[in-house]
Amino acid sequence: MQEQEDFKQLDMRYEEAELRSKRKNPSWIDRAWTFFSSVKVGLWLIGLIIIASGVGTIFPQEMYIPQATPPEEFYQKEYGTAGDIYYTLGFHNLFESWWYIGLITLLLLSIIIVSIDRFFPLYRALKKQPVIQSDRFMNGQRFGAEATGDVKKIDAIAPLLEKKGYKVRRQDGALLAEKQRFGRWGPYINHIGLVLFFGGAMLRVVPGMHEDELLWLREGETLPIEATDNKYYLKNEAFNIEFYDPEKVDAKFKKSLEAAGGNVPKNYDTKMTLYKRVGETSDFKPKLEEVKSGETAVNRPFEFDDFQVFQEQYAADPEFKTMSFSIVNQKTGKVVDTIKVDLREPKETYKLKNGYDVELKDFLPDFVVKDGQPTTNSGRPVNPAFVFNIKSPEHPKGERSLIGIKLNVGGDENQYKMAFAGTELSNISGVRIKKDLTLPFLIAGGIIFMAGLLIGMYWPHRRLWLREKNGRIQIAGFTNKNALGLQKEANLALTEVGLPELEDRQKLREEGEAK
Amino acid sequence: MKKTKQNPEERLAAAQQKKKKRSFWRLMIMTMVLFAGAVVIMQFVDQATRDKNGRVMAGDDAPGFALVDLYGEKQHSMDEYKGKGLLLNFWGTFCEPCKKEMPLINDNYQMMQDQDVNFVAVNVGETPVRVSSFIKDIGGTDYPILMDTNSSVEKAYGIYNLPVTFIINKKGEVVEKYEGEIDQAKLEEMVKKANQ
Repeated sequence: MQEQEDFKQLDMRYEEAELRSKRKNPSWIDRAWTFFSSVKVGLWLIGLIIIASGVGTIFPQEMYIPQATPPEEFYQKEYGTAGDIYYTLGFHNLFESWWYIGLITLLLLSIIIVSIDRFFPLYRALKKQPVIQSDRFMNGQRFGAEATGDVKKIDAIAPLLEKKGYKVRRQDGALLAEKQRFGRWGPYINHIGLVLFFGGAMLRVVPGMHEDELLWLREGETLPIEATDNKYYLKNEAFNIEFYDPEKVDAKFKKSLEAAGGNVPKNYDTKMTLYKRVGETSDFKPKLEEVKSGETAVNRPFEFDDFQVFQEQYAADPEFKTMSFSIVNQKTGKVVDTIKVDLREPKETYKLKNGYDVELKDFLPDFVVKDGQPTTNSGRPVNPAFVFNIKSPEHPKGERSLIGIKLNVGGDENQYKMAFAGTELSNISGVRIKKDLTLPFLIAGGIIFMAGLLIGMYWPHRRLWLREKNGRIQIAGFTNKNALGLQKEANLALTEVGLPELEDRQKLREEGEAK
Repeated sequence: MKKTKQNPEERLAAAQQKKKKRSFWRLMIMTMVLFAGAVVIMQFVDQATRDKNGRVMAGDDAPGFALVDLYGEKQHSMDEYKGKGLLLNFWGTFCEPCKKEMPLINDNYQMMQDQDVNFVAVNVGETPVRVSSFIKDIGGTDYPILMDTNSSVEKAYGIYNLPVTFIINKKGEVVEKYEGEIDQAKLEEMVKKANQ
């Protein structure tokens, strides 16, 4: 037992294997490699990234500051010199700043090199483990014991250890029992997960990997989706919105609903149809082929290819979609016919029964009078007005009038007038079209990372060596985690065949030093 | 690990060979990771110089378009103007300065054509009824009026104010984005810039 003091405890982390980087390195390639293979360098990089990320939260990031002021002024104005420095160093847009990405890249390089540098020597060392180890090795293990005895005791312990799930190898009477070697690969698996995760996050900048577009669709409208390079078109078939009715909800919600000021939406969704552009018609319109129809509601996206369409917003006020007019003979009061004008695609002439025609001479969607001239304020149908020309058998050249909401100019003297006969409104739905091909990388990376962590934490690599030499039996034990677990397992088997329990030599040594 | 008998020279040569191979792989791995990082950084730097709201600015490549003219006669696309200077104008009938600049542009259209510079005016998604009535009022134009019916080109260029004119050179790059009414001097300057 006293001999143990003569032996230094072995560093078993990499089975004493020669680390790749610890060889002589003459070339600059090897020198750079050696630098990044140091765990210390990796920890420094992690530390720097953590500090940078922390500093990045002191003032808001660029995307969260008010849009009105340009960022170069905002930080200076709001936070003084500190804000100015913050902006100059790029902390305002930290996750896209060159030096932050640079640090992440170096960390990735460090993780990859550290893993390669350690994994291969360790793998080789564990692959060709000798059963018979030297005295130096046996005594250099943290756990060990020695007693008189012969090979029979070793023979007897082999089945006991096998029962505990150890793989037992024998050679010339010596024994090596090993369990859960894969637990040693945990850190490397977890590094693979990290590399995948960061690599996936970086893939975002690759064109086509990530798309995000907000599309405003009126009911009945079909628009191209820019994120698909206008290959696909989306039609809003119907938009539906339900509001909470303060009278019908629970009393305790009623108050807050009223406080919120009237309309609180309960649910809103859009029925839509997806079309694929397959060509062009002779009048230069896209030829569309229906792909599928479906529905999107908040948090329930409509999906196609790699895209997801989310219900995101809606316009507070619906828009005029169509307006109908009756053509009335003012003398007799008879209605000749009724026309419906689509405000998005108004026709120039409307053919009516019995030789009557209505020409739409002008359409002013947002009617206003400027300098005595009727004109429009915008392109949106906010206050539509129409210049109609009614052709009738009595008036083949037509009778003109300007018709709008509460507006009828020149219509009174005419024989025929346009009488307002109703309107249709359409809601406008705002849908968010998203594509993110980097997500699978992030998910896979995350899962592999967690798997690596779990393997490394809960499956300790346990080994036991037994060797007979000159009528004495040497026992050595190794575990990379949970010392008590190994001791418990081994001691049970050892005592059953009449061998001494494992001693924790490290503990003994520490106690010896303490005395 | 094959244990064949080798003489010292052979072993040395084999070791050197192995070392060379290792150095090569080390260099490959380091280069690849650093290159990937550099690409990401460059992308972000490039994005930072672009406008956050998707507005096309000077220095950007002009987004393509294919639009039909007011009378539905011909489709005009970006490609047919490649190799020549192009002034791409966006306008609306509700925009006063647009109305004012249109006769001036029309008077200069022949001059522009002579100097190999094209001019097209894209209407921002209004109805043909309205636009043709408006064009009739101002006496017609010689240059094409294109109808951006579903506002997709307007969206691609990120238009917020009218009128706006993009000066696009022969290579299809935006040389300048000019917001506001065009006068004679400005128009001549634009033609010069488009031809550079």
